[in-house]
Amino acid sequence: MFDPHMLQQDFPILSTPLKSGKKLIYLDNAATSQKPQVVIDAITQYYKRDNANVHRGIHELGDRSTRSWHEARKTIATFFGATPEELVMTRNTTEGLNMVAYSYGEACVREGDLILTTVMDHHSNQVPWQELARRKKARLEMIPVTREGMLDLEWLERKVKVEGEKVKIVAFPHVSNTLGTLNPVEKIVRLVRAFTKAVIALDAAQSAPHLLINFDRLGVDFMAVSAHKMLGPMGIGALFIRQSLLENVSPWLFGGGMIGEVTKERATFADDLEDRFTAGTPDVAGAVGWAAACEYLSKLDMKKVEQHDKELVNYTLEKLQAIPEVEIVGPVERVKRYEVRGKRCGSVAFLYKGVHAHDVAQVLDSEGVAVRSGHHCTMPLHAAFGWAATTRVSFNVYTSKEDIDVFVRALGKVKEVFEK
Amino acid sequence: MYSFMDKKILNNWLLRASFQDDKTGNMDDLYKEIILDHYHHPRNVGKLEGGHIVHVHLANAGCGDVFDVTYQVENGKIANIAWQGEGCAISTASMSLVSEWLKGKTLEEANGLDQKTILSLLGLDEIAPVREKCAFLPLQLW
Ligand SMILES: Cc1ncc(COP(=O)(O)O)c(C=O)c1O
Repeated sequence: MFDPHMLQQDFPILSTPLKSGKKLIYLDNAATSQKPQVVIDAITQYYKRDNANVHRGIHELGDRSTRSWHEARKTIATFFGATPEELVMTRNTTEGLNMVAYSYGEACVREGDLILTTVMDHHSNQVPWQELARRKKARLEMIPVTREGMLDLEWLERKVKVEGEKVKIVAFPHVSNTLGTLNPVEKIVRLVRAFTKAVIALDAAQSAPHLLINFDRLGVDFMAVSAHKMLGPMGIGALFIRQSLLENVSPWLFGGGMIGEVTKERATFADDLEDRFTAGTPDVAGAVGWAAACEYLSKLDMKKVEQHDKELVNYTLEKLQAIPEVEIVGPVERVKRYEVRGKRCGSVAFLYKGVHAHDVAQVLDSEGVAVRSGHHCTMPLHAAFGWAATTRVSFNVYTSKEDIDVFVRALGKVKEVFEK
Repeated sequence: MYSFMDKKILNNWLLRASFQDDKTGNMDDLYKEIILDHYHHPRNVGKLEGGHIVHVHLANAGCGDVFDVTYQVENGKIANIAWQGEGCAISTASMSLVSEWLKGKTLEEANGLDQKTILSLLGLDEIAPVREKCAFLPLQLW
């Protein structure tokens, strides 16, 4: 049985009292998730028992640390349906996407080429491409979002047909962190492959916490994730690189650990692909903590996690649709006909008539409900729809329907305060 | 489990992140009469046209608040001021109150606008760090 109330006991922070004495209702999971005790313990244990630099010291701790690193990498890669060779450790999603721009993009994009990202992307999947385009005098265009909050695939189809092999990179999010839209990855991949030789980069920051992901089956070339959004620690993430591309992707960070041989003039890079992309001392404790998070999620069963999220999303949509002051953002219009169900994941953002998102958040906070307000690092999307700022509630495994009820009740207070 | 020194270090860390720093984002303190009044009925809204008008664009990148301020200087004084844009209750009230405060001030006096002035206009002693950007947006004027 999947019981969020039981799971809440695994997360010490959820029972830490707020200064108001109210119970914390944490609905800002899309920004970062809370950590279960097993993750905290795994990190502490590593530092208490195993800490030493990896691949360097020939001593017992060096051995333990190196083993922990490799084990953690294997666990994380397996969780995402990838091989350890395909996994490059990064600090977060942002670094992973920058890595694609710097390693692959720098080598393969030429003047006049076309890079495609989307209007709904997080800034971290827009700005690296803007910068790459500027460096290379390439063109950057963003796939528009339809009124319903979906990617405009007809636009994309016209674009790839017209531009063909001029398109070098297509980057898009698996799940939008503002609209909550779950994009049809396979369909987009088919479309792009049919008319271009572009590589495809997927931002999976918001899908990784909720969906069973199989990197190889998704068919994309690059996929970036952050541990901290999926119950793991901050400061570690991964970029997955398709096996067949690995040989062609050059490292972009240089130094210790990643080299073959170094002379005074130049260096060769490690043949071992795992080493080649690990410049400098990695965050072993972070990897160990993240692996513990993957195991925790696997034990819950990602299929059930996905189902749980779906129920929360639908429950929240229903509750919010009943409030006249609330306008939901993202795919919703046909939710009653079930067509849109399943096309959303992880969060629901909304506008509250006449009250700024920050003020909504502040009132909710006074009731112990933590939400996100602002533009959620999607300014082009907010501009496209003419929203100044939105309020977002987002979920994780420990979120219960009762939490949503508390949130909806607290929303009632917004009206009280601002109708004075 | 901890030695004396450890405890001291630990306590310091705990204090740093805790309620000791009681700059409240407390709602009842925050949404005072005056703030709600200026939010619902902002003063000096609009845009000045004509000669000798200074135009300043204020933006709070983190929140998406934007205000366009125009003011007219006559004999070294701010003779008139108007602003328009969109923001939360705090930034809107702050902008509205500051626009009233600025009217009639010499440029030198106007330059004295600081965090303390704004807080006292808002009727607050302090403001939570997360709302500072909202309250102090008008400081971008100079
Ligand atoms: C869709 C999406 N992409 C990328 C990121 C950036 O993640 P990180 O800050 O961990 O690099 C986020 C985080 O908010 C996100 O929601």
